[in-house]
Amino acid sequence: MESDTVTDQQLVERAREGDLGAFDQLVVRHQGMISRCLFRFCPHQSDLEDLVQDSFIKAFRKLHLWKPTAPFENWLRRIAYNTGHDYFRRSKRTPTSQSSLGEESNELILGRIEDKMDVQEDYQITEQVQQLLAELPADDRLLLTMHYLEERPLAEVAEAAGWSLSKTKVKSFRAKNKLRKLLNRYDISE
Amino acid sequence: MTSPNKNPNQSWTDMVAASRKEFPSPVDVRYGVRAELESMLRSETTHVEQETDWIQALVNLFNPGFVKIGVAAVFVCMLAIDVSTTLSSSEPEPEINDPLVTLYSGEGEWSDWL
Repeated sequence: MESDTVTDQQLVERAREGDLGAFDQLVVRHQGMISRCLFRFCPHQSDLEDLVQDSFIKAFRKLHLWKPTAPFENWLRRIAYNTGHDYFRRSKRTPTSQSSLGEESNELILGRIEDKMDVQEDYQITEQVQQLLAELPADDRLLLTMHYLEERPLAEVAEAAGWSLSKTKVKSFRAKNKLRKLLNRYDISE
Repeated sequence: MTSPNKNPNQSWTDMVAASRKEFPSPVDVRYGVRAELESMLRSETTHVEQETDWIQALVNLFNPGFVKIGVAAVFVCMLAIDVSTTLSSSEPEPEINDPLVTLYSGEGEWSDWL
Protein backbone atom coordinates (compact mmCIF):
# COMPACT_ATOMS: atom_id res chain seq x y z
CA MET A 1 0.00 0.00 0.00
CA GLU A 2 1.16 3.51 -0.82
CA SER A 3 0.47 4.90 2.66
CA ASP A 4 2.78 2.31 4.24
CA THR A 5 5.74 3.14 2.02
CA VAL A 6 5.48 6.90 2.45
CA THR A 7 7.66 8.13 5.32
CA ASP A 8 6.55 10.52 8.06
CA GLN A 9 8.90 13.13 6.65
CA GLN A 10 7.28 12.97 3.20
CA LEU A 11 3.82 13.24 4.76
CA VAL A 12 4.90 16.18 6.90
CA GLU A 13 6.31 17.98 3.86
CA ARG A 14 3.03 17.47 1.99
CA ALA A 15 1.01 18.59 5.02
CA ARG A 16 3.14 21.74 5.32
CA GLU A 17 2.13 22.60 1.77
CA GLY A 18 -1.52 22.36 2.85
CA ASP A 19 -2.30 18.74 1.93
CA LEU A 20 -4.78 17.77 4.67
CA GLY A 21 -5.00 14.23 3.26
CA ALA A 22 -1.31 13.74 4.13
CA PHE A 23 -1.98 14.96 7.67
CA ASP A 24 -4.92 12.50 7.88
CA GLN A 25 -2.44 9.70 7.21
CA LEU A 26 -0.17 10.96 10.00
CA VAL A 27 -3.18 11.00 12.36
CA VAL A 28 -4.14 7.43 11.45
CA ARG A 29 -0.54 6.29 11.85
CA HIS A 30 0.10 7.84 15.28
CA GLN A 31 -3.27 8.22 17.05
CA GLY A 32 -2.87 4.87 18.84
CA MET A 33 0.50 5.86 20.29
CA ILE A 34 -0.79 9.30 21.35
CA SER A 35 -3.91 7.85 23.00
CA ARG A 36 -1.77 5.35 24.95
CA CYS A 37 0.44 8.22 26.19
CA LEU A 38 -2.49 10.39 27.22
CA PHE A 39 -4.50 7.55 28.73
CA ARG A 40 -2.24 7.71 31.83
CA PHE A 41 -3.20 11.39 32.15
CA CYS A 42 -6.91 10.92 31.57
CA PRO A 43 -8.63 7.50 31.51
CA HIS A 44 -12.06 8.98 30.60
CA GLN A 45 -12.69 7.98 27.00
CA SER A 46 -14.45 11.18 25.85
CA ASP A 47 -11.87 13.49 27.46
CA LEU A 48 -9.10 11.28 26.13
CA GLU A 49 -10.39 11.65 22.57
CA ASP A 50 -10.48 15.44 23.02
CA LEU A 51 -6.89 15.44 24.28
CA VAL A 52 -5.69 13.28 21.36
CA GLN A 53 -7.46 15.61 18.94
CA ASP A 54 -5.97 18.71 20.62
CA SER A 55 -2.50 17.17 20.35
CA PHE A 56 -2.85 16.72 16.59
CA ILE A 57 -4.22 20.24 16.11
CA LYS A 58 -1.24 21.63 18.06
CA ALA A 59 1.09 19.46 15.97
CA PHE A 60 -0.40 20.81 12.73
CA ARG A 61 0.05 24.40 13.91
CA LYS A 62 3.68 23.76 14.86
CA LEU A 63 4.50 21.51 11.93
CA HIS A 64 6.99 24.07 10.57
CA LEU A 65 9.05 23.64 13.78
CA TRP A 66 9.69 19.92 13.34
CA LYS A 67 13.15 19.07 12.08
CA PRO A 68 13.80 15.67 10.45
CA THR A 69 16.90 15.21 12.65
CA ALA A 70 14.60 13.71 15.34
CA PRO A 71 11.88 11.10 14.66
CA PHE A 72 8.44 12.64 14.08
CA GLU A 73 6.96 10.21 16.61
CA ASN A 74 9.14 11.58 19.45
CA TRP A 75 8.25 15.16 18.56
CA LEU A 76 4.55 14.24 18.50
CA ARG A 77 4.82 12.46 21.85
CA ARG A 78 6.32 15.59 23.39
CA ILE A 79 3.34 17.61 22.16
CA ALA A 80 1.00 14.99 23.65
CA TYR A 81 2.69 15.24 27.07
CA ASN A 82 2.45 18.99 26.86
CA THR A 83 -1.28 18.66 26.17
CA GLY A 84 -1.56 16.34 29.18
CA HIS A 85 0.23 18.94 31.33
CA ASP A 86 -2.24 21.62 30.18
CA TYR A 87 -5.10 19.24 31.05
CA PHE A 88 -3.73 18.85 34.60
CA ARG A 89 -3.42 22.63 34.95
CA ARG A 90 -6.99 23.13 33.72
CA SER A 91 -8.45 20.44 35.95
CA LYS A 92 -6.61 21.96 38.93
CA ARG A 93 -8.15 25.37 38.23
CA THR A 94 -11.68 23.96 37.90
CA PRO A 95 -12.00 21.28 40.58
CA THR A 96 -15.32 19.40 40.62
CA SER A 97 -16.37 19.87 44.21
CA GLN A 98 -19.75 18.90 45.55
CA SER A 99 -20.57 22.55 46.29
CA SER A 100 -19.85 23.70 42.74
CA LEU A 101 -21.98 20.92 41.29
CA GLY A 102 -25.09 22.64 42.60
CA GLU A 103 -24.38 25.69 40.45
CA GLU A 104 -23.94 23.75 37.23
CA SER A 105 -26.63 23.30 34.66
CA ASN A 106 -28.36 19.93 34.36
CA GLU A 107 -26.73 19.26 31.00
CA LEU A 108 -23.27 19.68 32.46
CA ILE A 109 -24.03 17.35 35.35
CA LEU A 110 -25.50 14.76 32.96
CA GLY A 111 -22.37 15.10 30.84
CA ARG A 112 -20.17 14.38 33.83
CA ILE A 113 -22.21 11.32 34.78
CA GLU A 114 -21.88 10.01 31.22
CA ASP A 115 -18.13 10.67 31.38
CA LYS A 116 -17.89 8.62 34.56
CA MET A 117 -19.79 5.81 32.83
CA ASP A 118 -17.13 5.88 30.12
CA VAL A 119 -14.59 4.62 32.61
CA GLN A 120 -14.72 0.93 32.00
CA GLU A 121 -14.06 -1.69 34.59
CA ASP A 122 -10.60 -2.23 33.08
CA TYR A 123 -9.49 1.35 33.74
CA GLN A 124 -10.31 1.44 37.44
CA ILE A 125 -6.74 1.39 38.68
CA THR A 126 -5.54 4.20 36.39
CA GLU A 127 -8.58 6.19 37.49
CA GLN A 128 -7.73 5.56 41.16
CA VAL A 129 -4.10 6.55 40.61
CA GLN A 130 -5.14 9.79 38.91
CA GLN A 131 -7.71 10.53 41.66
CA LEU A 132 -4.86 10.27 44.13
CA LEU A 133 -2.43 12.37 42.07
CA ALA A 134 -5.15 14.99 41.45
CA GLU A 135 -4.46 16.28 44.96
CA LEU A 136 -0.97 17.34 43.92
CA PRO A 137 0.01 20.43 41.87
CA ALA A 138 -0.06 20.03 38.06
CA ASP A 139 3.76 19.98 37.75
CA ASP A 140 4.12 17.17 40.31
CA ARG A 141 1.29 15.28 38.66
CA LEU A 142 3.02 15.52 35.28
CA LEU A 143 6.30 14.34 36.75
CA LEU A 144 4.83 11.37 38.59
CA THR A 145 2.56 10.37 35.69
CA MET A 146 5.39 10.44 33.17
CA HIS A 147 8.06 8.97 35.42
CA TYR A 148 6.06 6.32 37.31
CA LEU A 149 3.19 5.40 35.02
CA GLU A 150 4.77 6.02 31.63
CA GLU A 151 8.26 5.00 32.78
CA ARG A 152 9.84 7.91 30.92
CA PRO A 153 13.35 9.08 31.85
CA LEU A 154 13.68 12.40 33.67
CA ALA A 155 15.43 13.90 30.64
CA GLU A 156 12.27 13.38 28.60
CA VAL A 157 10.10 14.84 31.37
CA ALA A 158 12.41 17.87 31.39
CA GLU A 159 12.10 18.25 27.64
CA ALA A 160 8.31 17.90 27.67
CA ALA A 161 7.86 20.40 30.50
CA GLY A 162 10.52 22.84 29.25
CA TRP A 163 12.58 22.58 32.45
CA SER A 164 16.33 22.06 32.86
CA LEU A 165 17.42 18.56 33.91
CA SER A 166 18.68 19.76 37.30
CA LYS A 167 15.39 21.55 38.00
CA THR A 168 13.50 18.39 37.00
CA LYS A 169 15.58 16.30 39.42
CA VAL A 170 14.83 18.69 42.29
CA LYS A 171 11.14 18.78 41.38
CA SER A 172 11.07 14.99 41.14
CA PHE A 173 12.56 14.65 44.65
CA ARG A 174 9.96 17.05 46.05
CA ALA A 175 7.10 15.41 44.17
CA LYS A 176 8.06 11.99 45.55
CA ASN A 177 8.05 13.43 49.09
CA LYS A 178 4.60 14.91 48.54
CA LEU A 179 3.38 11.59 47.17
CA ARG A 180 4.77 9.79 50.23
CA LYS A 181 2.81 12.12 52.53
CA LEU A 182 -0.32 11.58 50.45
CA LEU A 183 0.03 7.81 50.62
CA ASN A 184 0.49 8.03 54.40
CA ARG A 185 -2.64 10.11 54.69
CA TYR A 186 -4.69 7.46 52.89
CA ASP A 187 -2.90 4.54 54.62
CA ILE A 188 -1.56 3.23 51.34
CA SER A 189 1.76 1.45 51.66
CA GLU A 190 4.58 2.25 49.26
CA MET B 1 -12.00 11.80 53.47
CA THR B 2 -12.36 8.59 51.44
CA SER B 3 -9.33 6.91 49.97
CA PRO B 4 -9.16 6.64 46.17
CA ASN B 5 -7.70 3.19 46.71
CA LYS B 6 -10.65 0.81 46.60
CA ASN B 7 -8.54 -2.13 47.73
CA PRO B 8 -6.92 -1.39 51.12
CA ASN B 9 -4.41 -4.22 50.73
CA GLN B 10 -3.05 -2.77 47.52
CA SER B 11 0.22 -0.82 47.78
CA TRP B 12 1.23 2.13 45.57
CA THR B 13 3.67 -0.13 43.70
CA ASP B 14 0.83 -2.62 43.03
CA MET B 15 -1.43 0.19 41.82
CA VAL B 16 1.22 1.50 39.45
CA ALA B 17 1.97 -1.99 38.13
CA ALA B 18 -1.74 -2.69 37.60
CA SER B 19 -2.23 0.67 35.90
CA ARG B 20 0.57 -0.09 33.44
CA LYS B 21 -1.36 -3.14 32.31
CA GLU B 22 -4.42 -1.05 31.44
CA PHE B 23 -4.79 0.21 27.88
CA PRO B 24 -7.35 2.54 26.31
CA SER B 25 -9.98 1.51 23.79
CA PRO B 26 -8.93 2.43 20.24
CA VAL B 27 -9.74 6.02 19.33
CA ASP B 28 -10.32 7.49 15.89
CA VAL B 29 -9.96 11.25 15.84
CA ARG B 30 -9.25 11.48 12.09
CA TYR B 31 -12.60 13.10 11.19
CA GLY B 32 -12.61 15.40 14.21
CA VAL B 33 -9.09 16.63 13.44
CA ARG B 34 -9.93 17.09 9.74
CA ALA B 35 -13.08 19.11 10.52
CA GLU B 36 -11.21 21.27 13.03
CA LEU B 37 -8.33 21.94 10.62
CA GLU B 38 -10.66 22.79 7.74
CA SER B 39 -12.56 25.31 9.86
CA MET B 40 -9.25 26.72 11.18
CA LEU B 41 -7.83 27.15 7.67
CA ARG B 42 -11.10 28.72 6.47
CA SER B 43 -11.05 31.32 9.25
CA GLU B 44 -7.35 32.04 8.56
CA THR B 45 -8.15 32.62 4.87
CA THR B 46 -10.88 35.11 5.82
CA HIS B 47 -8.42 36.86 8.13
CA VAL B 48 -5.81 37.11 5.34
CA GLU B 49 -8.48 38.54 2.99
CA GLN B 50 -9.34 41.20 5.57
CA GLU B 51 -5.65 42.08 5.93
CA THR B 52 -5.36 42.40 2.14
CA ASP B 53 -8.28 44.86 2.21
CA TRP B 54 -6.40 47.06 4.69
CA ILE B 55 -3.26 47.01 2.58
CA GLN B 56 -5.34 47.89 -0.49
CA ALA B 57 -6.86 50.84 1.36
CA LEU B 58 -3.36 52.10 2.24
CA VAL B 59 -2.21 51.75 -1.38
CA ASN B 60 -5.31 53.67 -2.55
CA LEU B 61 -4.43 56.46 -0.15
CA PHE B 62 -1.19 57.03 -2.05
CA ASN B 63 -2.64 56.91 -5.57
CA PRO B 64 -2.00 60.07 -7.72
CA GLY B 65 -5.49 61.53 -7.14
CA PHE B 66 -5.19 61.41 -3.34
CA VAL B 67 -1.60 62.66 -3.46
CA LYS B 68 -2.62 65.73 -5.58
CA ILE B 69 -5.41 66.59 -3.12
CA GLY B 70 -3.00 66.11 -0.20
CA VAL B 71 -0.34 68.39 -1.77
CA ALA B 72 -2.96 71.04 -2.50
CA ALA B 73 -4.24 70.89 1.08
CA VAL B 74 -0.70 71.24 2.49
CA PHE B 75 -0.04 74.22 0.15
CA VAL B 76 -3.23 75.98 1.29
CA CYS B 77 -2.33 75.37 4.95
CA MET B 78 1.20 76.77 4.46
CA LEU B 79 -0.21 79.83 2.70
CA ALA B 80 -2.67 80.40 5.52
CA ILE B 81 0.09 80.14 8.14
CA ASP B 82 2.31 82.53 6.18
CA VAL B 83 -0.44 85.15 5.79
CA SER B 84 -1.33 85.03 9.50
CA THR B 85 2.38 85.42 10.49
CA THR B 86 2.83 88.40 8.15
CA LEU B 87 -0.25 90.10 9.60
CA SER B 88 0.93 89.69 13.17
CA SER B 89 4.43 91.11 12.38
CA SER B 90 2.97 94.18 10.67
CA GLU B 91 1.00 95.17 13.78
CA PRO B 92 2.18 98.57 15.22
CA GLU B 93 4.39 98.29 18.26
CA PRO B 94 2.89 99.74 21.42
CA GLU B 95 4.37 103.01 22.69
CA ILE B 96 6.66 102.50 25.64
CA ASN B 97 7.32 105.30 28.10
CA ASP B 98 9.70 103.44 30.29
CA PRO B 99 13.05 105.36 30.21
CA LEU B 100 15.04 102.24 30.91
CA VAL B 101 13.54 100.49 27.91
CA THR B 102 14.14 103.58 25.81
CA LEU B 103 17.78 103.58 26.94
CA TYR B 104 18.34 99.95 26.03
CA SER B 105 16.53 100.22 22.73
CA GLY B 106 19.13 102.76 21.61
CA GLU B 107 17.36 106.09 21.94
CA GLY B 108 19.36 107.41 24.92
CA GLU B 109 22.81 107.46 26.44
CA TRP B 110 23.54 105.07 29.29
CA SER B 111 25.58 107.79 30.98
CA ASP B 112 22.41 109.91 31.37
CA TRP B 113 21.51 107.59 34.21
CA LEU B 114 24.73 107.84 36.10
